[in-house]
Amino acid sequence: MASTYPNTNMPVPGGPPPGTNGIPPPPGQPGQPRDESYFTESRKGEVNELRQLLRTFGTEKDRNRKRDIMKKVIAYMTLGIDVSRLFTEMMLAIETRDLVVKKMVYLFLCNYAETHPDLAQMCTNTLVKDCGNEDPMVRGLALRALCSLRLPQMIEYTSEPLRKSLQDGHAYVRKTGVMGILKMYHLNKEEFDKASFNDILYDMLRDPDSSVVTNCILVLNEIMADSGGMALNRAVMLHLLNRIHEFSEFGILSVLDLVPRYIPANDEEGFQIMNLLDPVLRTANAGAVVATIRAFLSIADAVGKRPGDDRDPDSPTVDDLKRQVVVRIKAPLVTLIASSSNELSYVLLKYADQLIDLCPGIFDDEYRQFYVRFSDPTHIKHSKVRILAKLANPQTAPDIVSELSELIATVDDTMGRIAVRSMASIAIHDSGGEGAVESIARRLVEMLDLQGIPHVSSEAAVSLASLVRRHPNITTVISAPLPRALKYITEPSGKAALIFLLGECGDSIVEAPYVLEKVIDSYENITDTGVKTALLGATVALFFKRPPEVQLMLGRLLKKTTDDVSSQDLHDRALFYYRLLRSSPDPTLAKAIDDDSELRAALMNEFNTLCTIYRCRAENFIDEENLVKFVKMPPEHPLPRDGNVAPIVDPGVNNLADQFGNASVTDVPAPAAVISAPAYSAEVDLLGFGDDLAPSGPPPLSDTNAEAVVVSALQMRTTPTSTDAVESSLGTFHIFTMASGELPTEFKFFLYCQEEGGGYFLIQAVAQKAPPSLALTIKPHGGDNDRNKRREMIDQLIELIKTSLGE
Amino acid sequence: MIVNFFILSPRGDTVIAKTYRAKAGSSLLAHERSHTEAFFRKVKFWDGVAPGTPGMDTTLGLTGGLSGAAGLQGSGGKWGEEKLEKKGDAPPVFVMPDGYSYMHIKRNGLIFGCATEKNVSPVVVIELLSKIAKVFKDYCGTLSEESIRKNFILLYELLDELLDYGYPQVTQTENLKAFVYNEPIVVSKVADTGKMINPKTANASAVHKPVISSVDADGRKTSLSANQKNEIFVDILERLNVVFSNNGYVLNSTIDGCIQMKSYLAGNPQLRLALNEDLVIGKNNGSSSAYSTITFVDDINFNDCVNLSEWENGRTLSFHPPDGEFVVLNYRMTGEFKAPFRIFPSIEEVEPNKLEISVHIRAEIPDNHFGANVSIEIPLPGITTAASCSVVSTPGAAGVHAEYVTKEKKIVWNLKKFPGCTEQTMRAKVSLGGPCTSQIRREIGPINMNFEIPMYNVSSLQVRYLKIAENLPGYTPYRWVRYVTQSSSYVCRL
Repeated sequence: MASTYPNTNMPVPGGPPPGTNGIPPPPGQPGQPRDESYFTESRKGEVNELRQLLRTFGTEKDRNRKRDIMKKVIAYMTLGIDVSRLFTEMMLAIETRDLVVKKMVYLFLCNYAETHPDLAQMCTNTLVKDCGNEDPMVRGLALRALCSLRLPQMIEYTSEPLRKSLQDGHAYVRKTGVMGILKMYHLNKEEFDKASFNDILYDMLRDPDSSVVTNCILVLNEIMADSGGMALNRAVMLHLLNRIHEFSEFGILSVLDLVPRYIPANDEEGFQIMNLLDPVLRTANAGAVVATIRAFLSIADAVGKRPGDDRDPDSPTVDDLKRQVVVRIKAPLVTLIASSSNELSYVLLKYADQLIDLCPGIFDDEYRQFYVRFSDPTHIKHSKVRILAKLANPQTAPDIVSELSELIATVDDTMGRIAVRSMASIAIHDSGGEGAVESIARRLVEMLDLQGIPHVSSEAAVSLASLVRRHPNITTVISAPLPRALKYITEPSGKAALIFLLGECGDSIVEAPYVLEKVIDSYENITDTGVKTALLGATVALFFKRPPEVQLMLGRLLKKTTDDVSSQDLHDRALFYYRLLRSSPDPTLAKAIDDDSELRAALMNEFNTLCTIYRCRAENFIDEENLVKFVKMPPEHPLPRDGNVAPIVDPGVNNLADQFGNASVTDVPAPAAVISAPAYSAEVDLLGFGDDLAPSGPPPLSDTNAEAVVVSALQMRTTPTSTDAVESSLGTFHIFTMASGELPTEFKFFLYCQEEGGGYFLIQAVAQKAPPSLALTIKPHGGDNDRNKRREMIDQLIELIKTSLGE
Repeated sequence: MIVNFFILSPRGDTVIAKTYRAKAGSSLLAHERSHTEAFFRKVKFWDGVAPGTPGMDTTLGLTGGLSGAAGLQGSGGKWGEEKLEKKGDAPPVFVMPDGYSYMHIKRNGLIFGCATEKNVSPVVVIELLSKIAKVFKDYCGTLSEESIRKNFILLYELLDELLDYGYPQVTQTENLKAFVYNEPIVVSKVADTGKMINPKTANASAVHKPVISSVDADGRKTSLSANQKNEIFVDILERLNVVFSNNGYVLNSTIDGCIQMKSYLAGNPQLRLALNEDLVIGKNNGSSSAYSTITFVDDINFNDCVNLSEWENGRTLSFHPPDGEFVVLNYRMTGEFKAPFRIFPSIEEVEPNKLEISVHIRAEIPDNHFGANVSIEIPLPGITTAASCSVVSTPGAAGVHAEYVTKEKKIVWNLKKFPGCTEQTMRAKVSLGGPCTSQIRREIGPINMNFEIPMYNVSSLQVRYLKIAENLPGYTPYRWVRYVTQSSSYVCRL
């Protein structure tokens, strides 16, 4: 490789790129070794020099030098330097066989097309031409570039190559084309509607390549967002679920995300879907695991018994099922938290938090996994401490409380606060068993005296205040140190809490009125509204407990607060108390504890989204235009709600053999023509889409009007190489595979197809490996009753299958 | 799914940036920096409060019963904003004022980030970012600002295939090979592994080789044969989390383990990996002593590529190793195990203003093993004025040094080599600026220990064999199997 630039007088980009340790060569030195410091400060005239270089591009023979010239341009571009002046020169390089250069030109083009629409339009012809290149890689690249130009006026040029790409022989091109449709949709919705790509996309859900299917799902979900996402019916769902093992690690998510939107036909089907997805929980693919959790919870919601349901009293309720789901996913989720990177752990902890709220108690025995680690970043520590409080039960509480008390004195203030709060939360929820409330209260009281750590003592006061509201009987335990704590707690929230406590514990603290009086007398020095309001509330509360001592000071305070104009709220409150006292009503005011169960339920519906992290509804942080309200589908099932036949197709070969006998698999509508095979087009409506989105009902099972035809031991010359090869070959004859598998001695296929008259054939094919032979069981179903005609068709069918199997 | 992707250097410079979707009518170019700059400032100076929407639980809001406290006289509501200016680490997901949710991961000091406008699954996006980082590392050999800058064209090429319009496309290292035409430029390794005293402690990730043929920094093609050497690196890595009380009693102990591989095997043959046949998955609730030969693992998960058909019966896995680094399985154990080091601290108040701290550590690993790069930190109270340390070492210990770091108010005690079956002691005389109250006592500790033990694992999980499934005559790959035990959080409370 050449070690110098072609023009040695050209200034070599000097100066170290920020962050590299390398000592840069002095600029402008001839004979410089090729330095990869493309990232340099822009200097005047450099763009012009680049232009000079680009002019030599056409005559340059060395491939690597050509690439270097391009790289320099792109380097400038990605640095944010405007090199759009080189547009014309760059486009001259688009006609190249070197894909590295081609890709760079495309990158340049997509970057500047929007600002230079006229120039970009000139390249369209080249791009369109490249879309027909013999190399699928070039076709795909050109198509992606064409669709990424973001020029509305280009729609007329893109529409045709797009349509063609969807029938390309190479999956890479089809997949790029599908994504291109989405780009077109966002560019010009009207043109898009005219092109009516939707039906094609639905058709392509049965594309043999899973990456194409993934993109179809993603694109349909986005295009159909207004109507609740991609239309979903039983046939589509089962088709996708049966192929789920073919999908890539991210592709599988597109299918898993559909499951929560799918309403299972009956309970049995719901459980079968769960069984089918269960192996996903064993993988280390966190995204798939959480998507499966969501799917399970949603199925539990759909098939569980609800109160007032007139179903079998023995069937499990929704809550039972959800608990079972959470029990199942506990170990995998905890393992993911323990083994993942910090970032992922943090996010998964938030998920665990939500699931613990959903089903309290289940995670309790794993509480040690939520202990804070020295090496955790602060946000993980905080999440863990919050979760720990929720894992307390009479067995675990002593350990958890003592662990939390180790954390209050750490350097991290926030952490200390959360630890105190978590501890109090155990007492407030009374989850620590007998005596726990009191022992926690004692610990909090001790913390009040931690003068060295003011934020902890203040936080302890706030927590005690909440505790007293919940457990009024603990006032005797906590009252003693309150007056002295008031002297050294300075933080407003802590002070306010202490004042509140003085009011509440007025019975047991002799000096309470006098302590408060001092505060009232120095009212002018209080700046924090919270403290003032607390003082007002506490004095009123104390007044009811010890009227003679408090009456006068309350009068003074009411005067001061009603005169205080710093806070509207305080002023109004003071007036309210004043009027209330004048009319002397019953002083018991209802105290309410916040109930956030509604919010929790709403969040659960949005499980596995950002809502889980932020703990608030999507409306609060997502733009209206980006809000997607997915709709559960299908609204009605053709199957009876309590049907006992489980019709889901299990990918296991052996199970299927049993199902084959009772013909329940006909529920998968398969209206594809066998004999006259029309070209693959939008009219072939394999999955029951088209104008009518509801699946065509399965033929009634009773009218199976003919005996199965059994053909055994057909001699074969060869055995099939793989199931995939056979399936794709069968697919060209419109014979479709429900399931297939390779056993040590044989291949098994379960196939179906439809004749022109509307009848179905179900076929079981067993190909022995040695000696090569084929056994077929063909079961006609509906359709023409003429025996001879049927026999003729079956013969044709046998021939087709034999061909596909490699004859 | 995401609107853009970017890599920021430790100083906040944009190294790589790509926009996948622009808002209608706005030209949000990849290289518009204002957004990433604002994002970087937020990450760098995290103040505990995410900007953006009010009412969001980004900081502290403990829900449930504590909301009573939050509502306390109206002062608690603003608690988050007012009181929490203390810095911490920025969480990986938060909302910025531009209305987008930004997500990021940190790898080797670099920030891999992206923004999204939709209500996406955060787990998936974080996994996607991790995947991108992994692919970049596989292709560049190392992940550093320099290697990324030098290979930027290759990385843009990869990004084009990894994502289309913000949705993940081809994400597997080996599948991407078909679409990538640039050659990686290998950056000479940064000497950050210099502290390793024994090459045995280097794990598989220390193998810095791109997965495709590369050129070195001078543009010369590295010999292909170097890459085609039939090698496979296997690590059994265990990270320990242990908490000791001040009398040496183990309060809590867990192991997070994984089996990690990096394969350079030609032809990508199927491999079979067998573990202990008596491995039991599930919590060990019975008495552990009675079944001491049985290995209990709480839970285990596997890479997508692993075939589990022989797992239930033979504890054997089979798989085609994907290119680059990958984790075959993760496991987690909470059962009791023998802690490799035991820590015995003692604090004595010799005078009102003087403390004597002694820390005694016993290595309970066999004498043919040793702890490497051991570092022990003992935080001292804020009022410490001076401290002097002395160490008592037994023969065999190397590179022993203890000193008081005035700036951070802590004692740092390092041992390059800590031989098994030995005891090491450190004594420190600490002078305080005031009398030592119980308050001050609380500020000492906890003691934190970092170490790694090469060729040793704490659990009894063993690899019985790793072999190539088919018998290929003449195919003799080099197998580098390493057991490494590392501290994750090894703490002694005082």
